[in-house]
Amino acid sequence: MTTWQQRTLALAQRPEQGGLTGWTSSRDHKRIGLLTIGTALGLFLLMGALALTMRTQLAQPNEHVVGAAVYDQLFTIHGSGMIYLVVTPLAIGLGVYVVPLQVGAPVIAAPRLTLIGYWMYAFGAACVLSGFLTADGAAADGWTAYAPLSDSQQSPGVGFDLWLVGTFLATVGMMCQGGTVLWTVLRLRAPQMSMMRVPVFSWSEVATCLMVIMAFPSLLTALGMLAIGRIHPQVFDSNVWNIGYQDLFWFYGHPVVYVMFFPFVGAVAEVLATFARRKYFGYTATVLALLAFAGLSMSVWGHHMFTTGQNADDYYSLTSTLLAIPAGLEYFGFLGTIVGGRLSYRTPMLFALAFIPQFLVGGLTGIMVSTPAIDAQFQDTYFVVAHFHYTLFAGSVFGLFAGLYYWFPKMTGYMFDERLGRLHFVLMVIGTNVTFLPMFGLGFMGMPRRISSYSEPGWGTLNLVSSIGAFTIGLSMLVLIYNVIRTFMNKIPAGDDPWGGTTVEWATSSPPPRFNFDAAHPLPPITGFAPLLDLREREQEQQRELAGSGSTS
Amino acid sequence: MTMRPWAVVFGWGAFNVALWSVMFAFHARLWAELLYVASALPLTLFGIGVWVSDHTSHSGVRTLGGNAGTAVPFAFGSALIGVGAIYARWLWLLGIGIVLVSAVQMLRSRPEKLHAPPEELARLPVRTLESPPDDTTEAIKAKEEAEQQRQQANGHVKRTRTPTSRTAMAATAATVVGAGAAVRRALRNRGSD
Repeated sequence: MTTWQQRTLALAQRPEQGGLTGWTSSRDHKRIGLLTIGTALGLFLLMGALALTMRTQLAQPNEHVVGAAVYDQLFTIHGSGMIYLVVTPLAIGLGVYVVPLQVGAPVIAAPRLTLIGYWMYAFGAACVLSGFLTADGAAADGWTAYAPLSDSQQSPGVGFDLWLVGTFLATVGMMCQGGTVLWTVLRLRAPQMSMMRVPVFSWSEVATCLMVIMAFPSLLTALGMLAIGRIHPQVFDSNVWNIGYQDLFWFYGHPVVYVMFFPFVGAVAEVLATFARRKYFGYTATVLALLAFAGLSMSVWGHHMFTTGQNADDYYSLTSTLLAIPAGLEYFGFLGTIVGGRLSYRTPMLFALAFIPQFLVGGLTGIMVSTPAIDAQFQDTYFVVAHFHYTLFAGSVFGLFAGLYYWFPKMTGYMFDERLGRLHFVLMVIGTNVTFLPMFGLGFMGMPRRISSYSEPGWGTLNLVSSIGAFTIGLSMLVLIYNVIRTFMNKIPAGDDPWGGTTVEWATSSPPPRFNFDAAHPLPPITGFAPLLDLREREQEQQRELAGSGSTS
Repeated sequence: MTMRPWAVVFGWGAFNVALWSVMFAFHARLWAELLYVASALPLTLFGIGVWVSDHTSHSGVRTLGGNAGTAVPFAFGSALIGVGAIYARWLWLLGIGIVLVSAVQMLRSRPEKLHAPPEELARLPVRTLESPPDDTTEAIKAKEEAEQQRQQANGHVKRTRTPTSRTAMAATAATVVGAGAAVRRALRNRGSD
């Protein structure tokens, strides 16, 4: 027996600590994943509360719930919080929890690095939010923090410095976690699991984490550049560095959009296949589409800079429009799985089905703004706000809830209340579309984004409708919280495989044991990317054969 | 269709290089590309280097040593360095001290406390050094053997590379040559302006 084998068993036999210390220093990817997801969901509610304050202010013309300076802080922390501290960590945290289970690995690669990643993220979030406690308030330069607006002359006060430190830490944290998720898929798969047997969700995490390790370092450099600019503001007197900052920022800024939705595309794919009772349609094409999509996303950053006039518009327009091809392939996969399937409309499936048309709205309006002539018209209007909220909220967040409802029984061992889940879904769909659809209209009318108040009476009605929608989303979140509390009070056991899942995580217990699979819950034979479905089909075939031989005899 | 892990990483990287080369060939945004390369590549190469060099990691137990609890002070120390840079030098120095102490703890090798009987180990569904490498599944093995037999029948020397890896290498080489040609052309066009 080798040293490594002995160490493996030493790890397996070491009892897992309980309590606060056990959770905060655990090397178990499931605990680290839950910590990341839980922290991000808590921050999601907080960032949502900031959004509701903004929507209250904008509900009518000339409202002054908060002053202009505070409003600037609210939209900055809402935007940067949602991107750096909520959706990105949720996307990667879901991978930290699910990927090792899906590829049949007993542990995540480099679990301590994963844990360091979580704590970097947690302390980063604390730094960003602590800006509200300082005399000048939190950062107020938008999530992009464009220079020279963000240098120390234009934005004095430590709120922005704390934002800088916090964003840096959170980004490093996500790089640590993303790297270990990627490493797990590439190096720790179960013996029979070749790359082309890796489930779609794990493939979506591979594409995501490739972008994380390739694109996130440029944000660190950009933040470093800003830090230098805070000390020596004259750096940003040169336009070269201003545009250089934007280039670096968007090297990160566009791929991160895909980091924030690829895992949810993967989650939706798993949910659709499970609740359509069939294998995912177009597996190979979807895998290649994900990789191509991720590759293209690294070459479209300039479309965020069309209006700088210092860009290769035709190149970026072409690459941005090309994104429609892999996106279309993914949609074929979704639709092909649904068509001909025996659909079961459980809560995860409802969220997954809503993701498809809603995300399409975000995607199609993305193609619109990838055309420089159209982008010049919509630059900095509410049209852009509507576009990215349809992508990230109506798309990613619906995909997130599809995934969370789907894996919730696996994570907790308990089954949630289906009726409350459906109520949450209905309120979310109504709230989302009532909030963000009017924003397209406001964009057409020319309402600029990031304004704290307006006097144009024509914008009042659509803004009021949008605010009503936002509070409907808030109400849906209360239903979700009530459902979670109720679930933990009622403790209805979910069983190992409540949905009839197709991938190997459903072969183990709910919640899974420390090393994911044990003697009572061994890995099933991995014959494809949906091994449990294969197994069930083989068993049914054997039963039919037995029944046939019984009747002939 | 088979796919090797390294082909995913390097193939994806080559795809990016090809796309950037096209942009460079037509628009010569060398400044932007250099900025990106300077910022991203060192960390990316470091990550890939760690992944490639760590042959023991497929056993599933290769991690940093020390106590898991050191992750918290390490991250806290990092935060103190940042906050100290804003507020006070002593806080900054304290942060560095905490990070160094935690890092030393993490880099220490973990003591082996338990030695397991083989029958216990056999029940553990983890990969060991004796298990086949990453994706030599039966299908790939069969394909490799068939290829070797075909080559031997044709009088070729026995080779270890699979058809997939050869295709990936050829694709990478073609991408690099294409990218080089595009860069050369762009430079030549620039000179003639």
